[in-house]
Parts: sequence; structure tokens; C-alpha cells
Amino acid sequence: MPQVAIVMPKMSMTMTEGELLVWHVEVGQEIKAGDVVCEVATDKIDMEVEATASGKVVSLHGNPGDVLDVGAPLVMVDSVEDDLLAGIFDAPAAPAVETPVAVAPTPAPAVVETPQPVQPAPTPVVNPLVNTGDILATPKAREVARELNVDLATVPGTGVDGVIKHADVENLANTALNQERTLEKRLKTRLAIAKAIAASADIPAFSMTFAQKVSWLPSDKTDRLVKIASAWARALTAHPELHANWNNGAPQSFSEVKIAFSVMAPHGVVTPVVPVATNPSSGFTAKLKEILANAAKGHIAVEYLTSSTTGLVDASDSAVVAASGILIKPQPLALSVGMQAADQTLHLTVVADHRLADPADVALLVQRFVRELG
Amino acid sequence: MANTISPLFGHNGAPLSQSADTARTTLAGMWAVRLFEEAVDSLFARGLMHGTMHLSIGQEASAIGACAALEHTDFITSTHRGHGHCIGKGADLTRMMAELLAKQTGYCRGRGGSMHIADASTGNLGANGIVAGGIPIAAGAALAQKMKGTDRVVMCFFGDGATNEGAFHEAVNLAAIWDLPVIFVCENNKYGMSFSTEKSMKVENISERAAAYGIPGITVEGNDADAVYAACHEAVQRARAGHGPTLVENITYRWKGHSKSDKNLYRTKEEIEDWKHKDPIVKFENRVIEQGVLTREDCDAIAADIREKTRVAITEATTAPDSDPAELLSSVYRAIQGGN
Amino acid sequence: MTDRIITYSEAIREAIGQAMEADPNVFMLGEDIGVYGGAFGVSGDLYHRFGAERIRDTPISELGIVGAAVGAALVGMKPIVEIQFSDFTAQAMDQIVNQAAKIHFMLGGELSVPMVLRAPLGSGTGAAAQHSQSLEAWFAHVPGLKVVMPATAQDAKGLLLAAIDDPNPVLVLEHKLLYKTSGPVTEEAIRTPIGKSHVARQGKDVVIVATGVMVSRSLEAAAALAEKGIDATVIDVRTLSPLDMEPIEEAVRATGRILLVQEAPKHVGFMAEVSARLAESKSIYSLEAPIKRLCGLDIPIPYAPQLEKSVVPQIPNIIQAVEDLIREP
Repeated sequence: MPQVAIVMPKMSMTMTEGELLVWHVEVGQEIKAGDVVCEVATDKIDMEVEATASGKVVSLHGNPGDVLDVGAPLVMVDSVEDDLLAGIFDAPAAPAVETPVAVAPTPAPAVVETPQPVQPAPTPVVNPLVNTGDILATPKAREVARELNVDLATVPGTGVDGVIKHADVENLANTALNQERTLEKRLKTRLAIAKAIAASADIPAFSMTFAQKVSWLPSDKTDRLVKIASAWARALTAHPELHANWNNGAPQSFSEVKIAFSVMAPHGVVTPVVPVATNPSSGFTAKLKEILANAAKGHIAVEYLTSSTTGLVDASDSAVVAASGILIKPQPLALSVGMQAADQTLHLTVVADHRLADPADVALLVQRFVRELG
Repeated sequence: MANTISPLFGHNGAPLSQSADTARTTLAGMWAVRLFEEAVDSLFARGLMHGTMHLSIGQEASAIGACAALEHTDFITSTHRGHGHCIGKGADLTRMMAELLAKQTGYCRGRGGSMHIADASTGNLGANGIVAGGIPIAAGAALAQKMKGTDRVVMCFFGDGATNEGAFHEAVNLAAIWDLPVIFVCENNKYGMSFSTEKSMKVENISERAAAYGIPGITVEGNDADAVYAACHEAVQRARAGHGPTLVENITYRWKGHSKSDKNLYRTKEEIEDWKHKDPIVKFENRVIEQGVLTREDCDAIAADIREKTRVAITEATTAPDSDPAELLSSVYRAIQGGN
Repeated sequence: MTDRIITYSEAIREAIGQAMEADPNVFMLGEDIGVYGGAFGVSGDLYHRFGAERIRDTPISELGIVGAAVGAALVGMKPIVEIQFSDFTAQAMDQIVNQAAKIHFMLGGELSVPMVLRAPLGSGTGAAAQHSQSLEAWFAHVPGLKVVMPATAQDAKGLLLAAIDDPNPVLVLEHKLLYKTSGPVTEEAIRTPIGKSHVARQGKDVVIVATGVMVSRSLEAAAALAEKGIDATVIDVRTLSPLDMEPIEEAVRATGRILLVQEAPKHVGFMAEVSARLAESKSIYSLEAPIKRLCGLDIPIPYAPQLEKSVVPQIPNIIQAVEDLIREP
């Protein structure tokens, strides 16, 4: 006769185990389905466990006070009744339990597969921003970036998730190490210079370098420049036949001397054009200083962007001996001042438009300049 | 391979117990409901089944006798206590069991459980977790048949409790005024959860309510498969002929509690015992043996066969893959064919 | 494609007529939609064109009607339910929420409910609290339903035809003040895609997101704001479920300021969802000012016209709200 297990029943949706309180049957007793075999305490209520099969009690599994899992056998019954699940969830064992089972503490049923509560799937993170390649930046940051010509892609954002705030853009713009930006400006400068040079290419120019002993030049750069510039202005004024616009064969002398000063800005040479009087006023030095300082930062006011009558490069504080510049139309002459040697010898190079001047003319002009320099 | 109890389709209206073939099919169907639910009950008791379920043990004649009056192409709507209706219409026991065991191969891919088994291939438009929820749906499915000009009918199962819901009244009225091909089968098992019909309604028989809508109503001994079949067969013929709905009330009884949390505090053990003596399977077996249609051995063989089918359902369902959470988010809407 | 100027009502009727001509499974059911022509006259002459079977008058029985539509849809019909006032969907909530919305998912995916439920919503007609609500958020909250709110005559037609095509239950919520408004509508059976928000006006200073009748009010407000030098984008959400946030987020990233306008009460309304989704997205970092909502007051709609008007956003309120938003630092 097959044995059937009466198990700890699941009696509510939340019940997972029950505490055995008291037995109502004993081994050897004949019971029928529906008889109360024991009482158990569940998480909600004390319940009577009814026999699910009729027959003779073979064994009891557990003692009052034991906590047994749902599904654990409580009573084994010798039964003619059918156990629909017999064998299905047993481990390799026989389809029905053929031998009496010894009283064991809490043999859990061999569960082949316990249905698991459905776990929510890891929701795929769908963010419309992820795949758009957009840069996260506040509108203010975008506005500042536009103003400062800063590429937002180069700005490290300090906001949450790397969002670029306007301060980030400003910080980057103010950093001298803004390599990308400098290179871009440098290219612009090169292009401007290239254009000017191309226009000067048809001027038949020659250059001459002189070494002349002069008195010590002032150590202050601007004072020195003012001194050189005004001397040069006086020399040019003294030679109106040279200080002239070729004007397609009808030379016209310039009425004033407008010098294009070569200044090194971060991204390349710039040339603010400043009129220089033969005897500069007392305020001229300060004014020129300001113009040159601004130019060194790359800023030139519109009024100093006019055409020039001559060029001037002061390299007297360097090791440059001779710098052969170019003539930017309509300049007929340009002066480069090289180093002043220990013996006070000053190196001077003049580029001249051959249509207006011969080397002898230039030599005379330089003599005049040296005299003016004093 | 499908693990089904082939329903009786195309029967001529003679009592189910009269011929060996119909008797076998009827017994097999009732045993399938009984054993499927006993297996489910045991699985739950052993902690091997996840959710709640509502058992119709004791009511088998109602589901099987009623479905016997249908054709394969007819439709049903069912209830939270719907295993019998599913089986009666020809559902696959393995897929039903797989659903209850939360498996991917279940009828609802583990999304519905016991209360929501639907099977389009057998015309089962779905069990329903809302009391009376399926009644307007049945009326609508019947409206579609009428509009399409088919001769298909819809059998709508519900319990005594549903007849106090507004949905019942609205739907029966619609079906009545439009002469829809629907059979309203009320399985009156005496209790809506714990509240008895004596307390919940003033009429003695629920079938009396049919009069309010101008349709026929009949009360049937619901544990007698022959009686249920006879009433439903007539109602189906009527519906198919375009004469509108009928309310059939099957008086029956559930042996088990309303659901798994029922403590039977509202009824006596004596009452339950009393109804167990009116076991619809025993009643039908006794009749067919008495009439010499089947032998006791025939009957036992049928039960044994169904027992095996039930065990196969459990074994197959147990080894099926668990339902897959990965497809949930993409399953809320039906995809539009061909885009847009 | 040919466009004419017709009313919102006519556009809906035209859509239903074209759908019924194209597919014998499409039919309409609802209260007083037959000879009466519908509570708002939308079904009009359809009864005479298609007959009592397909323009099916029903008893006053919202739960039964919607349930019947669910059942018919389950077995291959394409019912269009008209509920006289969206407020009455409360009567049919079980069939909408527990049945139609769930069936496809819950029953494993084999069955579906290709039902369309049309209902007028909104205030402005002096019909008081039980006939004037905007309940769109109820439905948008239920997985399995699609919810659209056409704001123009063209969309009334296009969204309805798309809803009829859709194999899922779609609620088409029509604002009753729009029925008599007119606009260009394509004569052919065009479809407006469900699930796409629509940029109704492109601007650069601020974005206004609106639904239903608030779309036209927002557009009028935007026109007035343009004269004051404020250039507003207006986005018509069109489909509340499933919600398309992309154009909204894009506009936020472009403008940094957003106003959300709805007629329904503010508390737990649809725009709260839009607001929350923005707050959860990275687009929030683009905001120059906090998200602003302009909604109906959290009270039932009153009867008296001056009371009724004071409860829901009007054009001057939208203009004011945008100006306030622009002034935010």
C-alpha cells in the first residue's frame, strides 16, 4: 500500500512556515480525509490541519514547538488514496514512497523547481540625450561661448554630469593656455600678413645694413622707441624726395610721418600705425606706450589701423644684428634697428623702394638719422 | 503535443449520459477539472505555486455540461473561477498549469496566472478577475457575430455575485434589446466570497432576473451535467437562430473556500459535507453505470487516463522556462503592423 | 493632397465616414448618435449614410457600451465608442481600465482591443462640474491605453484615423470648445502619427507646452508675445500616452525656459509628468529658470461664466506667465 504525505499546508498567500502546536492523531490510528491531524500557528492565525488523505497513520514528523516549512511532510499515511503529485517533485526516488520513513526532524520536500516571484527587469536606461551627441551646457554658457568664440566641445564642464556652466566657458577663455584659440588667431594674423606681403611683392626693394657708433640708447623700451622714431621722422622729413608715394611714376611726398611699429602679440606680429612728430610732445611717450602695450595683447584701436609711410622694427634689446623687413604699400622706406654692441655700435638696416632711392640716397638718409639720434 | 480533453462539439441535444461516447467525453472533462484543481491545490499547499487561485471543485458539471452545448468556433468569457470553462472549451492542460506555475509557456506567459487564462484558438476570450467584468465583453463579442452575420454564439460564465453588479444589468439589457447570440450562464454556488445569495438578493432564483430584460431565464440543477447540457443546448439553439439571449442559472456549490485565504467562517462543515454527497462526477458515473452505458471499469479507466494527463501537465510545466521579465516593457501595447 | 477649411466636428465625422467606407468592421456606438446626430452633433448624418447597424444608438449605459466595444474589438471589429461627456467615462471605468487596457498584456499577447473611445472634455460651456472636467491624466496613468488630444481640425481627423488603425485601445479626448473651430483639413484619409509631440510654432526665447484647447490659446499668446519681442516655441503634445518628450527637451535645451499649460487641475495633472520627466532628464541643466506650470485651479468647474473662466488658463494668463518666466534671472 503506498504511503502518502500530509504536508504542512500553505494556508495564506504569505505563509512560508508553520509552528506545530499539538498533534491530534497518533501512529497506528485510522484517519480519513478532512480529520484534523494537528494544529499549527501561522503568521496570521492558528489553524487546524486537515488530513488530505484517508488511511492508517504510519509516522509523525516533528514535535510541538517545531517550525516546519510549507510542504514539509507532517504525517505519513498508508493510503489507498491517490496522491496526484506523488513522485513528481521527489528527487531520484521512486514514484511513491514504498518504505516507511523514519521520524526525521524536518525533511524538506525535494523541490525540483520553485516558482520565483517575477523580478522586474533591469529597465534599459533610455535618455534622449545619450545618443544625440549634444553638449550639455546651460543657455547662458552657450551665449558666452558664442561671444568669446569658444568651442563648447573644448570646455570642461563643472556642473552635475559634466554640464558646462557659463563660468566654465569664461575660465577657459581667460586661460593663456587656450592653445586652440591662439593658433586660430595666429592663423588669422598669418593670413593678414600674407595678404600684405603679396601686395608688396611687386615693389623693387633693396636693403642696406649700417654699423654706426651712437650714444647709448635709453634703457626704457618706450623711451628708446620714441627717441628712434622721432629721429627717423626728422630724417625722413629732411628727405621729402625719398619719403614719398611712388604713385605710378608721379611721386608725391608725404606730409607727415606715420610709422608702422612692429609689435609681438601672442599670435604674431601686429603693426599699429602712429603719426610721429619731428618733435614729439611730452605726452607722446605715454600715449605710444599705451598703444604698444595694447598691441602686445592683440588689441589695436581702429585709428591706429590706417596706412603708414614707413615701418620701424626696434630689436635693439636683442641679439639681432640685421633684420631685412618688407615694405607695406605705400611705404618707400623701412628701418630696422638691431643690437647696440658693447662699443655703442648700433646696427641699422634700411629697406628702400629702388624706384625712389638709390643706395647712395639711403646712405645719406642714414647719416642724417644718426645725426638726429644724437 | 497538446495535452487537452477533446470537448464534445456538434452534439445533437440528446442527454450526455445516453451514449458511451458522450458519457466518456463528459466524464473526462469533469475529471480533468477536478484533478487539475486538486493538483493545483496540492501544489499551493506545498508552497510550489506562487499566487492565489479560485477552485471550482464540486462545480464541474456546470462548466462541462454548458460547454458541451457549444461548437469549436463559439466563444466563451470566463471568471476568476474559470479552470473548468477553459478545460471545457478545450484548453491545453500543460499550458494552463504552466501559467499557474509562472512559466513562459503558460497561456499568458506568466503575466495573468489562474484568473486570466485566455485561449484565442479555442474561442476563450479570457477569464476575468473583475466580478461581472466579462459580461459586457460577452455581449460585445456577440454583437460582433451578429454584425458579421456569423452563426457563432458566445457563452458568458459568471457567478451569483456578479448578478448584483451594474455590468450584469447593463450587458444583459444590451444583449436583450439587440437580440444578441449570447448565453448567460450563472453558476450560482451560493456565496459571493462569504455573502450568501439569501442575503445578497431578494429574488429566490437568479433566473427570475431575466424577466426584467424580457428574455427567458431557467434555473437548473447545476451538478447534473445532463440537466445543464439540456438547458444550455436549448439556449444555444435559440441564440444561434437569432432569437437572442437566455439566462441559465446552474445551482451548484464549491467545496473549497473562495480563494486560498478563505477560512470557511461563513458556512458549516455540515453544509459542505452535504454538498459533497451531491458530487457531480459521482452522480454522472452512477447514472451511466446504472444505465449500462459505461462500466465501473470504464469510468475508472477514464479517471486514470486524466490523472496521467494531469501529471504530464505538471511535469511538463515544471520543466518549462520561467516567464521572462525582459519582454514585459515591450508587451504593453500590441505592435502596429507595418509601422505607423 | 487637397486641403479645405472645415470644422473640427466635420473633420471627425469625415474621418469616421472614411474609416467606415474603407473597413466594414468599423462601426460606431454611443448614446444619441443616430438620428439625433450626437450630443455635440459630431456623428451628424452618418446614421443616414451607414444605417442603424453601424451607427448604433445605445441605451444610457456607459459601462455596457464600452464593455460591448471591448468584446466586439476582441473578435475583430473596430468599434468607435462615443461617450457624450468624458465625465461619464467614470461610469465605464472598469471596462476601460481593468479590461481594455490590460487584456493584451495580461492575457499573454494573443488578444488585443482595437477600440477607439471618443469623448469631449473641458470647460467653457457653462455645464458645471459634472460635464466640464479634463480627465486625461486618469487615462494617461493607465498602462495599456493610448491617449490623444487633437488640438486642430486636421489632427482631429488624422489622430482619429490613426486611432482606428491602432490595434490598441485609444482614447481620443476632444475639447468641446474646438468642435466649432475650423482649419485646413486634408480631404484624403490622412493619419497623424500617435506618439509624436508636434512643434506648432518655433521660437528661440521660451517654450510653451500645451494640450487640447490650450494649444490654440498658447499660439495666440505667442503671437502677442512676438510683438513684445519674445519669441516662443509652442509644442502641442498631441499624444499623452505614449509620451514623446524629445521635441520638448530639445526646445528646453534651445531656450532654457519652459511653461507647461493645461486646463485640468494642477495637482497630479498631466503636466506634472512632463515636468517630472524634464527634471529627471539632463535637459534640466539647460534651464535658466524653474519649470513653470499654468493649470486649472484645484477645484471643480463652477457654473457661472465669470467663475468658469477664472478657473482655467486664458490667453492673458499665458502671456503673463511667459513674461514672468522671461524675467526670471
